[in-house]
Amino acid sequence: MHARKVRIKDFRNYIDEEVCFNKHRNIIVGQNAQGKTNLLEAIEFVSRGKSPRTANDFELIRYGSPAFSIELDFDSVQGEENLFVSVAKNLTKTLKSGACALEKRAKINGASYNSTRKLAGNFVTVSFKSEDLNLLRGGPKYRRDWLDNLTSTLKKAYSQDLSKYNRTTSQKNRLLKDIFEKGFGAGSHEMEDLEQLKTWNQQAALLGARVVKQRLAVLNNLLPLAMEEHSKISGKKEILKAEYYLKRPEDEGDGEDRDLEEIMKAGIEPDEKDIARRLYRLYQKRHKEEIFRKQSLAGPHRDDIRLSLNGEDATAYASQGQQRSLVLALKLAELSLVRDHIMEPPVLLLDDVLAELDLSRQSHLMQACDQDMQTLITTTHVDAFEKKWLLNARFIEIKEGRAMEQEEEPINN
Amino acid sequence: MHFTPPLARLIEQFQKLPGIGPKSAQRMAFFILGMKRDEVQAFADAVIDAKDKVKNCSRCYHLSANDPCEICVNDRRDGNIICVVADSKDVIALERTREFKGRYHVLTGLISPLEGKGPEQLSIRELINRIPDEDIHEVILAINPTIEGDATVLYLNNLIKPLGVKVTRIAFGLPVGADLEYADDVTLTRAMEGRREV
Repeated sequence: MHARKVRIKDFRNYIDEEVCFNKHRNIIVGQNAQGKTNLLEAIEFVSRGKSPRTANDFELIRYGSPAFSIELDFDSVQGEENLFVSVAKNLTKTLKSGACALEKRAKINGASYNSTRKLAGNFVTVSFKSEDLNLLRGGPKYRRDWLDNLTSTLKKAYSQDLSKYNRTTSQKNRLLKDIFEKGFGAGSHEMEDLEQLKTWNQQAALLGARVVKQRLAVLNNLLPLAMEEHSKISGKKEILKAEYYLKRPEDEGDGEDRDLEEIMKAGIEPDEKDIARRLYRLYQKRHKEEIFRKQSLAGPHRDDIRLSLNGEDATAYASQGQQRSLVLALKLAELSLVRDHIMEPPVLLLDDVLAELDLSRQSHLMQACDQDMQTLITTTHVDAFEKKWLLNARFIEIKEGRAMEQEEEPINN
Repeated sequence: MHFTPPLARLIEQFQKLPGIGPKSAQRMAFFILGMKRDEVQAFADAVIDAKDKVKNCSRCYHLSANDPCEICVNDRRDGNIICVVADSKDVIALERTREFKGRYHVLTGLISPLEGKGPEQLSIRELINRIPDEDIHEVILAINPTIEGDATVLYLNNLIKPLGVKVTRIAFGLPVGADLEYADDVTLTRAMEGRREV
């Protein structure tokens, strides 16, 4: 799979720009704040139907213009394909929140859709950004988002399952708030309220288990690949573990919960029903605390992935170098998982990440995408690369939202 | 340029209707002005008449000019099966099929805390009372597979199951006559889960 040409109109700092790529390595050079990341963001937007950086598409429209559009020509095993997306401000309508309503259109090989969600899964990219190096250091949300992103690439129904779970959680949180505000323990409608809460707990447990189950399946497929990559990178056998951690409020868990966690530690995928039962039990047992805190305290939206090296928590003990190797291993594993899934190489987007890696890690990464994979690499200066990686690369210089193609590599040997 | 007050008021009224924006409201108001007076009178009478005469049936909460409604008083229907729907519109849809011969119960909405709708706002208590009163053997839940629909189904199931009554939910999957290749992924996944032996 490779991108041939992208045309960007009024997106971020781009006015109207057309950028062509070669089938292999494309190096996008430019100073800071010129639009290198925006170019990759545009490509990700047209491939996923949403931005990796913001949930509010309004921000993506260039200041002062009414709409943005992105058009991408690419080749896949199915032949030449074309994706188009546009987001326009709808000036006659305002949303309840006071925000401006947006009108979104997508076209896949010429067929129109009213939702950008349809775009996902046509042009598949894997991105590796400098922020991803924070995967270990950041909070659980980073790791959840990373796993969610990967899972939705691999499992088509996943993003809808996740958004259903999220909607259920907001319904439940609202109910918890209502019960709290009515004065829990005083009202006559208490029985009815608790009965309704039970329903939402059941629903959240069922949908939550479906989310957890799919995340676990992806994580379990990823782990052996990551382990292999990691030993290649570090040159020694360290045991890498990624454990899915089911959040539970503070203390214990009763016997059965422990059993489930032991099963998961052993790398066996538990049954969806068992996960649902555990979640439901947890919710029911903690319902008073949840009412008091006015929010749902456990479930997939609170879970974490704990990475460890030789049994030691990587978040706390791994050095900067070890953390980098670990993230790189995870990303390379992700790449091969996605490649197997779509049965052709995805497009690799590397945003400012090469400069963060030393030469030996750089070459691991570059080797992985050497064969037939298209890569788009952004960087502020080319001297950070080993020279052999610059051969046959296409250079694109970005300056104030304009792309200029450069003749072959600037430093040739 | 402003509209003269009576016209402006008419446009405002049309704009209150669902799906009607300022442009459509204007168009409708101008159309009314172009109609004959007796046509407009008939239109206005129909609005008032419908509002005055159509009420929720006291038994099943279906909208009807009669109380109890035509379905509830029809003796040829199976009184032991009850089909629960969210809205009166769903009764009409199911009636078009002429397939279901039992009676209905309209919930008048779904459980949704975000919209301030709890079981107390729906006709759930009345449904529960009907089960022993009318000797119901089976409750069919014909409720949309949305978040709120699923929650309402769970809630009803929790209440009705202990009464020893059979509770079923209508199947979801591929629309009849649809092409498999055009079905969206989620529908296909659910259809696969709900497969059955041929």
